[in-house]
Amino acid sequence: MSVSSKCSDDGRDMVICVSGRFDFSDHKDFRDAYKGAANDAQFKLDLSGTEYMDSSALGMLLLLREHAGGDTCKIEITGCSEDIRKILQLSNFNQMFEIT
Amino acid sequence: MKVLISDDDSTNRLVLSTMLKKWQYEVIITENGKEAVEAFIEHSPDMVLIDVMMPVMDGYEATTRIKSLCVDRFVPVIFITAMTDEPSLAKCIDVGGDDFLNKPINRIILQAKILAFKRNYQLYQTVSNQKHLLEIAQEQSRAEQVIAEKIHSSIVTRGDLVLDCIQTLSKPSCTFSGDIVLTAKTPTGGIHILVGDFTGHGLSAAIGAMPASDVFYSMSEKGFALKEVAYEINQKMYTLLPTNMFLAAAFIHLDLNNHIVEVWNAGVPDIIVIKNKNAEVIKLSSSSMPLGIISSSKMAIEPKAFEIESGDRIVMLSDGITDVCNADGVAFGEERLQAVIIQSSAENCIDNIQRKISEYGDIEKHFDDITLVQVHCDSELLSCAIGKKEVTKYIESGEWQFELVLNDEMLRNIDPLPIIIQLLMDIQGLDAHRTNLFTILSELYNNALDHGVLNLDSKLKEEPQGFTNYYNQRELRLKKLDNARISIKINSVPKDDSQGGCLTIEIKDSGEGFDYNHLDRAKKAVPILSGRGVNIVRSICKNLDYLNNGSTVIAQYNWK
Repeated sequence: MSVSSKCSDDGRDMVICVSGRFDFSDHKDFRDAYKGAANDAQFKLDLSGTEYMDSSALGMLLLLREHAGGDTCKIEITGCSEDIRKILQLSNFNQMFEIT
Repeated sequence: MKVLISDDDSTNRLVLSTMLKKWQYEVIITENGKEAVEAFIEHSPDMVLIDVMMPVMDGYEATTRIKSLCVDRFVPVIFITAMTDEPSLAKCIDVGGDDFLNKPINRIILQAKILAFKRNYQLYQTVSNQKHLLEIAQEQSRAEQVIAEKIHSSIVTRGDLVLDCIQTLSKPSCTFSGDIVLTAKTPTGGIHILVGDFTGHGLSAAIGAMPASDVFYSMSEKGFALKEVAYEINQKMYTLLPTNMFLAAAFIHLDLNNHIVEVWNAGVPDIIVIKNKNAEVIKLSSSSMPLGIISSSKMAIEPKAFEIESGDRIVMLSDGITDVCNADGVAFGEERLQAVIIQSSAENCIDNIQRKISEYGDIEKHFDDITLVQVHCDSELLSCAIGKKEVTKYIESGEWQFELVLNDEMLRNIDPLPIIIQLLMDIQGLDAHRTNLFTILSELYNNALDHGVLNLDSKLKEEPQGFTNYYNQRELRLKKLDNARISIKINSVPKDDSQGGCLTIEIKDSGEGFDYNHLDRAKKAVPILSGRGVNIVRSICKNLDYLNNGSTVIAQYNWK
């Protein structure tokens, strides 16, 4: 597992990538990744390298969503494999995140 | 720091003790090995300087004894010797000595050695203190966990039904389980079963189980419908749990009077219903967000309903079991599990699953809680479970009427449904009809509010992101309400044959009306007895009529 992030120069766009297993051990790295960006930044989550997600990973997505403004924010999740997509759908996260 | 000196030569003793005293050490002086061991026991020094050749007991023997006395602390022993042959020096270390110095003693070297050992000694002391503290803390935490687990499990399993028709496979990953299985009888002769999985595992996951089970038991026992119980648990979890924690759950209500099972899946793997008659398999995927993420007013709690016959089976599980991995890191998965469930009989299902999982991967090393529940709807087992039906007090139907009118402020802030349901229970004792009345009132009231007063288009929900948009719009329009109202009128008359009565529920809203036909049609597409929408209301009521373009609805409900 590893979390990496890329922020545009003006700090407005932020892409967070998680590769390997996405679980509780990524908690700190993941939080550090989004804490660096402004609250009103446009967040994008790249899960193309993610092989597995557990429920604490879903919890982390909720923390990111809260950081980004809760109901009013739009967070895009890209590159989901079939399995990851299924995990997100199982919890109806497609109602809160834009899964492309 | 105390240093023990042992030497049979008085000059050596004097030289050593003078130097040590000058360097501010406390000195204990002995003249042979035996005295050294005794002084060691009496004074427990922090370092020993010892000669090899001494009368009574030599330095080797004394060192062996001294070292055997310090099991849990480190006391450096340095030999001070005139011997220079290698075997003798090697023996110093063999018997447990830590270093040696040749006579005559070089002051600088002795000071350096003592300082180096003092540093080692301090390091050892720190580590040893920390280890001790850690052990105390660990023991304390273990003891606390055992007590907490006992309290926790007795709260969570309070009034738990031990039923032959419910078989459970359960394996927590540590002392506390973040998975819960709750079962309760309802006063109307039904059973509520909830299989839940809190985010994570261990103590932090288990703590949410207490408030959840509290709501589950108290509301189920009072006769609240599945939807109402789920609504309350969600609200409680939403208020209590931190953002990143939630409760995924499978929740069923076995309605044994009407042979219907209501099934709701909020974020766990498919609930599987296996029909006895033709071995038909129905899989119910999650249709909702797990509990505790969004507030109940935004949550679509829409259980599906099925007819149920004797011999049918229902299987619910948390995701722990499907995540068990084999040596190559491949998960057992839902497909494999479903195949085992379908191929097994009611009797051997749990055993088969347990065997297949153990064959597949190392269940002992699994990092998540495992829970699987099979409900065997055998009529004999079930009637045993329910036992004698508690007779709810029959209150003869009276003739009465009330009307509740809600204005802008009330529409924004009050959910009138629990109030009205409670009123009906108090006046007329309609516990057996609670689920039906709740379904009728919630469907008709929510339609009047969302589509009548707020003019929201139900098609909005079908679009991607529609759910969020829908509720954002809803909040916005609720804030902007101006002179809107909804009136709920309920009228009761006894039936002619004096068995029971008829309730007329009339809900009128100040809106322009809405396409109630569309609501009907949209929901017809959903499989039989879908348990949602105007359709089910129509099937429960004697009559259901929309008037004034939809802004008035009148439902008639017969009871006895």
